[in-house]
Amino acid sequence: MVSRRNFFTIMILISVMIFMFMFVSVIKQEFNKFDLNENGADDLNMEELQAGHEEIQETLQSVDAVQGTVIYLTGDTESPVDHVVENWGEYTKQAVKTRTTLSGLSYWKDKLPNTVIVNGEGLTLEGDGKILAEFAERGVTVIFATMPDSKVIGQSQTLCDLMGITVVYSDGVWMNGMHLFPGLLIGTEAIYEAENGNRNREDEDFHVPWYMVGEGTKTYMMGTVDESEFDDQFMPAILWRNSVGEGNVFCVNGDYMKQDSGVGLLTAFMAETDSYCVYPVVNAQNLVLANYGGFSDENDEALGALYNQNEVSFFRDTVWPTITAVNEWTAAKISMMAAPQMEYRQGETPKEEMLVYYLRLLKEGGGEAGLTARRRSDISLGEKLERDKLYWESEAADYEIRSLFLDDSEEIDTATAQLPNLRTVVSLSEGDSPIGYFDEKLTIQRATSQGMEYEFLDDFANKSYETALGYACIVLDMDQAAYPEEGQEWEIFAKKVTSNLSTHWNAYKGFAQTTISESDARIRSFLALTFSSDREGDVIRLHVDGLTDKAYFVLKLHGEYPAETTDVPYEDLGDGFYLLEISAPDTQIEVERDERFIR
Amino acid sequence: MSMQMLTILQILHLTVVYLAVMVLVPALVFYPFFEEKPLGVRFLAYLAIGNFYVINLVFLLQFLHISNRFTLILGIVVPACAMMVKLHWNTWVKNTLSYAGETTYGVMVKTVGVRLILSRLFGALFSTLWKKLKNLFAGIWKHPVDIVGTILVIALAVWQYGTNPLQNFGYMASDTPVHNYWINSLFDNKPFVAGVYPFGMHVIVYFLSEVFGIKIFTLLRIFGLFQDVLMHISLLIFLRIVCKSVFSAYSALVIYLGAQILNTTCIARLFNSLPQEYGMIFILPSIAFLYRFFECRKEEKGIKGWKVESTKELALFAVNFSLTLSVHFYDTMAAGLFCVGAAIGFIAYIFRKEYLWRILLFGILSLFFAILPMGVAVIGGTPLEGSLRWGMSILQTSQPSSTTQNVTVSESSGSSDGGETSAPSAGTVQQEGTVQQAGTVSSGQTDLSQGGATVSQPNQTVVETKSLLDRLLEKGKTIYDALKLADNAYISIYLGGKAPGLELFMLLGLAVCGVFCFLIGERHYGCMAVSVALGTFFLCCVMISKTLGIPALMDQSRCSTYLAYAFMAALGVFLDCITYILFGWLPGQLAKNIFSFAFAGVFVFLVISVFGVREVYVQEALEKNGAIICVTNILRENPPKTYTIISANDELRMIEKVGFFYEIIDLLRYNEGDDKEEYLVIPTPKIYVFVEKVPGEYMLDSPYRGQPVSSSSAEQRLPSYGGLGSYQGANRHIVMSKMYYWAKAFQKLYRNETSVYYEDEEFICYEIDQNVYRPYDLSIDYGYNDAGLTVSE
Repeated sequence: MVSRRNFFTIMILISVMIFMFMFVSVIKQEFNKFDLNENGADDLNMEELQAGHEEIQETLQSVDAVQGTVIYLTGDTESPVDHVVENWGEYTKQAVKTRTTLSGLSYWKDKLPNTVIVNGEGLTLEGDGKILAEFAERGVTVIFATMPDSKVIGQSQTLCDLMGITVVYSDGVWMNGMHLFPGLLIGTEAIYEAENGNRNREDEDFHVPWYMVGEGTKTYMMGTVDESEFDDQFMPAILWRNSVGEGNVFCVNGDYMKQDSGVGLLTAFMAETDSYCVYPVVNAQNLVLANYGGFSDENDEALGALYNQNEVSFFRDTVWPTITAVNEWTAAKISMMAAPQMEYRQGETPKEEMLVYYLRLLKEGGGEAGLTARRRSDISLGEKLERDKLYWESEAADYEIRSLFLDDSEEIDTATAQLPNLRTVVSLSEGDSPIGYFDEKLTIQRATSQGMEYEFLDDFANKSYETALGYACIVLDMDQAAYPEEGQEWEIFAKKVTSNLSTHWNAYKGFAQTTISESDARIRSFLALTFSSDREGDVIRLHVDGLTDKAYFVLKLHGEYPAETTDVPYEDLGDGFYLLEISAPDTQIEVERDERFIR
Repeated sequence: MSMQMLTILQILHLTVVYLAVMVLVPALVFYPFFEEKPLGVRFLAYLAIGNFYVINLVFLLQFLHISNRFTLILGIVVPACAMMVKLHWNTWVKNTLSYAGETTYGVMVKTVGVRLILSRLFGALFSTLWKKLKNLFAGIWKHPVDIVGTILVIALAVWQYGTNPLQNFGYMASDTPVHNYWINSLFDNKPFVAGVYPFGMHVIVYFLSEVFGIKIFTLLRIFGLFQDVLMHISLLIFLRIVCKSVFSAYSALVIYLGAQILNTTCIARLFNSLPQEYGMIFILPSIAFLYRFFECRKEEKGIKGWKVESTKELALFAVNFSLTLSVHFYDTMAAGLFCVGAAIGFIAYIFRKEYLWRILLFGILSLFFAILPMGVAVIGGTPLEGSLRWGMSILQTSQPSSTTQNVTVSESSGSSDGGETSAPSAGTVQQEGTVQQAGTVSSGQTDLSQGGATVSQPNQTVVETKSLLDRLLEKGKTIYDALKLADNAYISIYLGGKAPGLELFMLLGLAVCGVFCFLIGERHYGCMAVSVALGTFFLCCVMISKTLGIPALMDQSRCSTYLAYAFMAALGVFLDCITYILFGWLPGQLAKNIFSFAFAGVFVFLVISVFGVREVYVQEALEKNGAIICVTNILRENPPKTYTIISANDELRMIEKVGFFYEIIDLLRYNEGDDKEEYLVIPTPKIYVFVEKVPGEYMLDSPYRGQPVSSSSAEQRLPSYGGLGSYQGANRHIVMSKMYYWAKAFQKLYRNETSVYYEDEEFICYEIDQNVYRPYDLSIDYGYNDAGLTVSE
C-alpha cells in the first residue's frame, strides 16, 4: 500500500518529469516562427548593391591603360574560355582587355599588364611568343589557358623555354589517371583514375600531349601512365608553372579552362605568383532540394508498388529523415524548393498541414523554403504558381517566397510577376557563369554539383569553384524520388548522395553553410565590392570599398600563417588558404612564420 | 630557447643520467663492499664498476644482435635488483618481503586499506632516503676542505672547458664524425663496423643515447666537458689517496686549471669528445688502487686466501686498467708506464710471491676482459681497424718509425642512405686526426742513431772517438735537450719559454724526496712518490722516442696531453712530499694543516702571480654554430626520414639514422658543365641546404680566412678531390661560394617554396618544400656552372 504522502510525492515527480520533457517541445512549437522567412538580410539595399556592381563593371570596362590589367590573348573565333576569363575578371575586380595579338600593344618597361592569359588553341604565337617571354622576364604572369598545338610547341624553342618544356614526348597519350597535388586548389589531394582501366567518352581529358618539364618548373597536376619506364618527374604534366625571370608562366594541358570552373584555376595561379594573395569570395555552401514533392499523393501507384507507401508518407517518413541525417553530418542548411504538385490534376490539391509541417522542420534546422517552376503537365507557369500561391497562403501566408527553382530562363518574367518577393533563381542549366545577376533584380545561382554523380571532372570543378568563390550549390533533384526511373530508385539515389555529400565536402567545412537566400545576399555583397591590398614586411593591408556589414576574403600564404596578434577572425582552410571575415574598410593582417625553437 | 641554454640543460641531463647509471646503481648494489672506504675511493670504484659493466653488457647484447633500449634497461635493472636482493637479504629485503606479504594478506582480508599502504610505503621510502642523505651529508660535512675544494675544482674545470661548448657548438676534431659513424652502427647491432678498435667510449655513448634518448651528435658535442671534469676529479682523488696533506691535492689542481703555465697544445685535445681523453679517467685510479693494494697487502702481512681487503683493491686496479684498454690503447700505454713506475717504486715488494702472482693474475684478467670483445670480433672475421693495424705494425718492426709524427686524418669515401656521397665513410682512420693546434710547432726531434748530434743534416755525419763517460754525458745532455725542446714546444709556456724543462727537475726532486721518505720510515709513501716520478719520466721518454731510438707509438702532441696530466699529478705529490718533509714533524694535526695550507696557498699564489691566470682557450669548431642549431631544430621538427640535408660533410653522421644526406660537392658536380644531370632529384618532402656565408677552413689554412663567399671564388673550378679535400682550406671557399649562388638561383626559381630556415652572420640554411611525387629538378643554371673541375692530382 502506498501512503498518501508517498502517492502525492510520486505524482509530483511524474508531473515534473512530464513538464520537463513536454516543455522543450512546447517551447519549440510556440516559438518556432515557421511562418516567417528570415533568411537573407531584410535590410539589404539590393538596389544600391546592384548599382554598385554595375558601376564597378563600367569602371573596369573603361580602363584604357595596359598597366595593371589582364590581357586576354585569343583567336578570332569564340571560345568557352572567353566567358571564363570574363567572369574571372568580374570576380577578382580586374579589367580584362581582349586582343588577338600582342604586337602593337603599347607598353613600357614599368607599365606592364599584371597578367596575360593566352587561349593558345589554334595560335602559333610566332611573334607573340617573344613578347610573352619578355613579359615573363619582367614579372608579368603568363597563363596558357589552353595550349597551342603540340607540334607548334615542339618546333618553337621560344615556347618550350617559356613553358619550361624539355621534351614533347608525344602528341597524345592515354593516361590511366591523374594526380592533383595539394596546395593549388582548396580541398584535399586527389588521385583520379579511369574506372576499371576503361576509358569512356568523358575521359577525353585523359588523352593529352605528353610534355616533360624540367628545371624551374613546379607541377600541380600530372598524369600517370601505366607501364612506363619513366620516373614520376617525367610523367605527363597537366598543370604546371615555369619560373622565367621575374615572372611565372602557367600552363594548362587540357580543357579545364573551358568549363565555368576554370575561374578557380585562374585564381589559384594568381595565388601562386606572390608571397601572399587575397581575394574576395562569396563564402556560401548551399544544399538545395529541388522539386521536393510530398505535399500531395500524385504518384501513389508507383511509390506504393515500390515502397508500399503513398507519396506524402514516403516523403515524410523515408525521404526527409534521410535528408536530415545528411544534414546532421554536414551541418548543411537545407533550401527546399517545394513542388506542392507536379501534375496539377483537376480537383486535386496538396494535403493540408504538410507545408506547415515542413516549414517547422526547416525552421528548426535553419533552412528555407522556396518554390519550383517545374511541372509535369501542360499547365502554364502562371497558372501553376497561382495554384501554389493559394495553397501557400492558406498554410503560411506570411512566409515570403524569395527563391525559385527554374529550368527555363525564359519563364522568368512570369515568375517575377507572380512572386513579387523573389530574389534569386536556382538553375541546373549550364550557362556563362555560376553566379551573377540574372537581371536587374534577381541573381542566379547555378548548380555546381548534383550530388549523385561525382567523378573526376565533378571533383575538379568543385575544387575550382571553392577556390575561386568559396561557393557551392549542390542541387538534388527530388523529382527522381517522386517519379523514380529504373535504376534510379530512391535507395540508390540516397546511397550515392549521402556518400558523396559526407565525403567530398568535408574539406570545405571552413566555409559557411547558407540557405539560398542568405547566399543571394552574400553574392550581391560580393559583386558590389572592390578592394586593394599591399604588403609591408609582415603586415598585409586590405582596403575594401562597397562593404556592407561583412565581406569574406581568402588569403593564400606560402609557409606563413596569420599571427595570433591579428584581429581579423579567420578560418584555416588548409594548404595555406585562410578565410577572413572583414567587417571594416581598412584591415591589417599580420603574418608570421614558425620560429625556430632553438636559436 | 637559446642554444647556450639548451647546451647547459643537455649537460645537466647527461650528468644526471650518467652518474645515475655509472655511479648510483653500482653504489646501491655494492655499497656493503666499500662501506668503510673513503668517499673518493668509493666514487672511483663505482665509476669503474659501472663503466666496466655497461661496456661488457653492451658488447654482449651487440654480439647477440639484441641490443636495444629494452634489453639494455633490463640488463641494468634485473641484475642490479638481483644483486641487491642477494646482498641485502638479511638486512632489509627479507623484512620488506615479509612485510609485503603481510600487507597483501591484510588487503585481501580488508584489514589494511590502500591508502594506509601507500602512506607507509612513501613514508618508509622517504625516511630511508632521508636517512641515507643525512649520513652522506654528515660524512661529507666532516670534510669541509674537501667540499670547498671539490666544488672549486669542478668550477674551475667547467670554467676552462665549459666555455667552449657554449660558444662553439660543433665538433672540434676532424675524426669526430668517424667516431659518430662507428657509434651509429651500434644502433644496427654492428659493432666494429670499420674494423676492430677499442670501442669503450663508443659503447658508453651509444648506451646513453639508446637508453635515455640523447642524440649522438649532442653527446659528442658535450661529452668532452663531462669527461674533462671526471678526468680532473680522478686526478684529484688520486692525489687525495696518495698525498698526506689535503691541500697539496687541491693546490695541484688549482695550478693545473688556474695558472697560465701550459701550452695550448697539451690541453687542446681536452676540448674534444674523443676516446683517448675518456680513457684518461681510468689511468690514475688504476695506479691509485695498485698503491692501495700494496698498502693493504702489507697490512695483511701476505696472508693467504682471496677474501681479503687487498683483493678488492687489486680487482679495482684490474677493472680500471681493463677500462683503459677498452677505451683506448694509448691510455693503456700511459697506465702501463705508470705500472712500470710502480713496479720499480715498489720493487722491494713486487717480486714477493704474495704480491707478484696476484698482480699478474689480475693484470692478465684485466687484459683478457678488455681484449675479449675485440678478440671475439677478430675470430668472427672482423679485421683490425686501420690505426690499430698501424700500431701493431710499429710494434712488430725493429726500426724506429720514420713516419711524421703529426698527420691529419684522411677520411676515405663512404655512403649514406638515400644520398650519394663520396665523403666520410667506412671511417678508416689511418692515424687518428690531429686536433687543431694553436700554432705550428716543430717536433724538435733529433736523431741519435749515429751516436752524435746531427740535426736536419743527414749528409754531414761526424764520428769521433770519445770515452764512455763523455758519451754518456753527451747522450744525457742530448736527451735533456730533447726533453726541454719537447717540453717547450708542447707542454709549458712559463717564463716565456726561457726555462723549459723545469718540471724535469721537479721529477728529479720528487724521486729524491721519495727516496728520502722511504729512508725515514715512510716506506709506502716513499715508494709511491718514486713510482709517480718514474711513471712520469717514462712518459717523457715516449715523448722523445725518436731521439731514444725506440718505436714512436704516440705522436708528441698526443703524448703531451698525457704528460701534462702526469706532471700535475707529480706536482701534487711533490708539493705533498715537501710539505711532509717540512711540516710532518709538527705535533698535532691542526698545526700540520695550518702550515701545509699556508705552504700550498703561498705556492699557488706565487705561481699564479708570476705566470698569471690561465686564459680560457676557445677552440674553433669545424662546423658553424648555425649548422648545429639547424640540425637541432630539424631533428626536432621533422619526422624521421622525411628530409635531406645538403651540406659539406659532418652532418652526414649526425643525422644518419633519422634523415638523408647529400653532399654539396656531388650536387655541384651534377650541376657542372658536361656532367650536368638531365634531372637531378632528391625525393624527400623537405630539403635543407647548409651554406657557410663565411666559410671555415676545416683544419687547413686558407688564403680566404674570414672572407665571405664571393663570385670570384664561385667562378673558380670545382675541386675534383675526393674525401675531405674538397672541404678544406681554399677549396671550401670555392665550394661554399658556388653553393651560395646555387641556392640564390634556386630561390629565385622557387620563391614561395624556398625559404630561409635560419640565418646568422656566417651561415644560412634554406628550406625547400616539395612534393615527393614530383620533386624539383636540382640541376639548374646558377651562373657559375661551367668553370669545370680542377685537374686531379
